[in-house]
Amino acid sequence: MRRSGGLDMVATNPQVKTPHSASAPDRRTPAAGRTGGMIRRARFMAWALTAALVGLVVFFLVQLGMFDGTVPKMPAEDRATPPADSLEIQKPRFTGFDRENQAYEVTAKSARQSETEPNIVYLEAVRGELKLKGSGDLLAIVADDGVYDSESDTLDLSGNVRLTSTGQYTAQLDKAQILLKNWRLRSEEPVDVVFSDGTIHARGIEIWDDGRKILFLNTVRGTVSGDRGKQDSQ
Amino acid sequence: AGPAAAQAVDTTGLKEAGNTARTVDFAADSMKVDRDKEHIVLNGHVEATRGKVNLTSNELVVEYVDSLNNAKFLNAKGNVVITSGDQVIRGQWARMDVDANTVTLGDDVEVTQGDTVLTGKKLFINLDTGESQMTGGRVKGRFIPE
Repeated sequence: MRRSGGLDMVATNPQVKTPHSASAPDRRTPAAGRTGGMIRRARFMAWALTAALVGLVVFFLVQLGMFDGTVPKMPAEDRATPPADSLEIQKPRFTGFDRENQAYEVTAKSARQSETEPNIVYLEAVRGELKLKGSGDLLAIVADDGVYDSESDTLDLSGNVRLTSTGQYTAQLDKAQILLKNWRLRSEEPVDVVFSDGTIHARGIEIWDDGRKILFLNTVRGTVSGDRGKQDSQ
Repeated sequence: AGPAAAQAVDTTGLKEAGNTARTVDFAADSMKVDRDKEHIVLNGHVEATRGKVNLTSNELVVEYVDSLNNAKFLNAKGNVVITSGDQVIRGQWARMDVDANTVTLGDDVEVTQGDTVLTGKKLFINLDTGESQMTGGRVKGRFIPE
């Protein structure tokens, strides 16, 4: 042990320059240089290995859900994804009558039926149609995805949901649920409605009674091009 | 200022503003369209703007025929405030007859313009002619139509 300037120095490596060993002769030789380089590389390798190990352990713990609260979840795709055990349905087409004997039809590009819950059918590229009793207009609805539940008679739509009442209006939203028994549509999502004389935006909508009642919720804004018949004719 | 049987109110601002722009911008907490009754009910923090005329109230019911933009009557209820330029008209209810282009306001009506205040039971305004009539009211301060 060499005492130097009050520091306990353990001279493990004669090449290590410390401010307090200025009196030691600088006996650097080529061999010593190579050894020094090897030691530095070894030290670096040790660090790298340790870092890799720690990384592995952290990754493993994350997989276990250890940091669920802290690690931001990958935004789960909002789509209805059919379970692995589901069966494919060819040319999916569902028809039925609502409570007032009004016929409706729901078709899709593809569909899968859950084996464990056969009442649940996952639809892709959904299209629903209903002929409106009063006006005879056609109410058509399309969406990227849908989940049809024959027990609750509901159709949950998501992704580019667009509802068109021919000659009346088009509503665009992200998600909506339809109670097929009475064709009531509900959504708590932002909705934009365009009709011949204006536009309406809200953060929720309900449509029922054959599309004859529409409730816009959670703050509604809009513009209507007022038509004052008499004024226009002057 | 004594009780006035009927008092004219300068509504030229309202008249001009009401007859020019056609588009109505609106906002509310909720809105219900009932195509059977042919009416639209806006509820909660209602605001409607047409040109330079702005209306706020608790509720606004638009009665239309056939198409949403063929409004026939507008009925505002609760804290009704109609603002046009520097003129502010307040009342508990207001009814606009779109075809006749007239507006009637009722209950605790108050018209403020600059330092002139006119209060009364009912105010009738003809937006075509600009004529107006406040009945059952009192006039405080001088009121000079420009």
